[in-house]
Amino acid sequence: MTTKRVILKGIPASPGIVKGRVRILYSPKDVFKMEDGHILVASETNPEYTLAILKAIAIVTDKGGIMSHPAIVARELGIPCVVGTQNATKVLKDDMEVIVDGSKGEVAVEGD
Amino acid sequence: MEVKGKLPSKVIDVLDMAVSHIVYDRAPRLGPSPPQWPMPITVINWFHTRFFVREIYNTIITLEKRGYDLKEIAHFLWGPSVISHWAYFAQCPIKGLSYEEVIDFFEKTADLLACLRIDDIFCKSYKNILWNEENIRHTLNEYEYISVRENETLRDMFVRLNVMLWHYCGLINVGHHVFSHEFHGPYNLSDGKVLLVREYYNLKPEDVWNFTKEVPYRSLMTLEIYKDLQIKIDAFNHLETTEPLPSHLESFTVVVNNREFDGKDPESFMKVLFDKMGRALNQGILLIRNFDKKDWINKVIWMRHLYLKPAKDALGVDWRPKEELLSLPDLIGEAEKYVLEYIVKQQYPVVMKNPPDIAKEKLLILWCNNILSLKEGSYEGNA
Repeated sequence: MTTKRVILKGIPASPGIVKGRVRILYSPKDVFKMEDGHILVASETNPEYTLAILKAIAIVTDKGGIMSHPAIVARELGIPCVVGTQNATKVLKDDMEVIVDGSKGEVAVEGD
Repeated sequence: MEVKGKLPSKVIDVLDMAVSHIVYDRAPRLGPSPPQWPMPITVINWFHTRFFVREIYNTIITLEKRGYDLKEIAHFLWGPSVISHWAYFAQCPIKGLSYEEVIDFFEKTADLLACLRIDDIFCKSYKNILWNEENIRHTLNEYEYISVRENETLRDMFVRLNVMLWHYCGLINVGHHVFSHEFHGPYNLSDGKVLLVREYYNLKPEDVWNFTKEVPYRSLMTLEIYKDLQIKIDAFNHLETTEPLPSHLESFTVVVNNREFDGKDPESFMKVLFDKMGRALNQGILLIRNFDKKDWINKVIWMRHLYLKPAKDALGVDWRPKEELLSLPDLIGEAEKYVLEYIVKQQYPVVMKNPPDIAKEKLLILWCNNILSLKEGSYEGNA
């Protein structure tokens, strides 16, 4: 059985579990880096991130609560979301493969 | 409370709607919230009180003088949820109206809501009910609904379209999405099903935003049937669910020009619409990248005037802002100073440091005093 190690905790904002590759967007100018199936990681999101959000299979942010922009949008799209992690943009790196658990508010990697 | 007793109960009811929303719905659950995009709503509201309240009020009064009744006037003002937002104008100094006019403005706010919403005009039950049973029956029978059980690809396109439209509304209205949408319901159907209606309007403000020219429709409506999902809609049109919407979506349709899917097959219709909206949104996002605060306030002035266009058209007058208003964005520093001194330093602590019931009373009194001080011309910050 594959084990997993939780590397980030935040506020559960939209349920569901997905595994995918991280794409960190430091500003709206980075949205072109996003491809279909990426996990969107950002300090926060706003409407300028829309086109990236629509490609994401999950959203993880440093800031925000359950009524914040990424949380509302993720529930509309039906994708997992973890907000308020404080430092997702520092802990995670582009192309890292992670598991996002939107029900528990956790981000994990496979292995010990 | 003594202060509350000095204002008509209808005015108190309107202010209570906004104050309750701040205290009970927003504050406890906001958590560590990032800054509001593209700027704090309170700053935009300060500008609203500099021109928009006066503009709305004078337009309503002129329509009344021309013989329009309040129900007819209500329909010039789009949905009730944007009217609910007028309650927030009491948070800042209102310019250009007398005390008596301000009282009349807030009383009319309640009356207009009563014209558009059925029974629960302040949405205290977290339902925004605009349609009666006959409207619902007609809507269910008139249009062909697509079951998402048969077509998950279409479901995904649909939920993405709604998200795109919502963001688009936010962008063109400078963060105030509600100026281009009215979400209403949930309307109870049988077997644990509910109908949610999302009406989008004013989607092509070409006179204000050039990039909206390619948007194919000025308005459209989505009809969505969910099963076993609790949907809440408050007076200000915030939609909230405890669970993600797509997994509970049973069927939907998109109505434009009074026909579902504009007569084309749903899949190609959705793809074309999605692509066109996406292109417009992308152009908009590229445009605003170089915006400063004054550019945004300029758009606020133009978009709020455009909001009143149907009413102005009925009066046969030009809807565009007057020349002297175009220098209003220069007051951005004054607006930010007011928000910091009177809202961030005085009103926010009341909400954050008191139990909800006490916070609500204290905030309500602050807002009432703002209006009452108009009588003596000593409105705080009303320099």
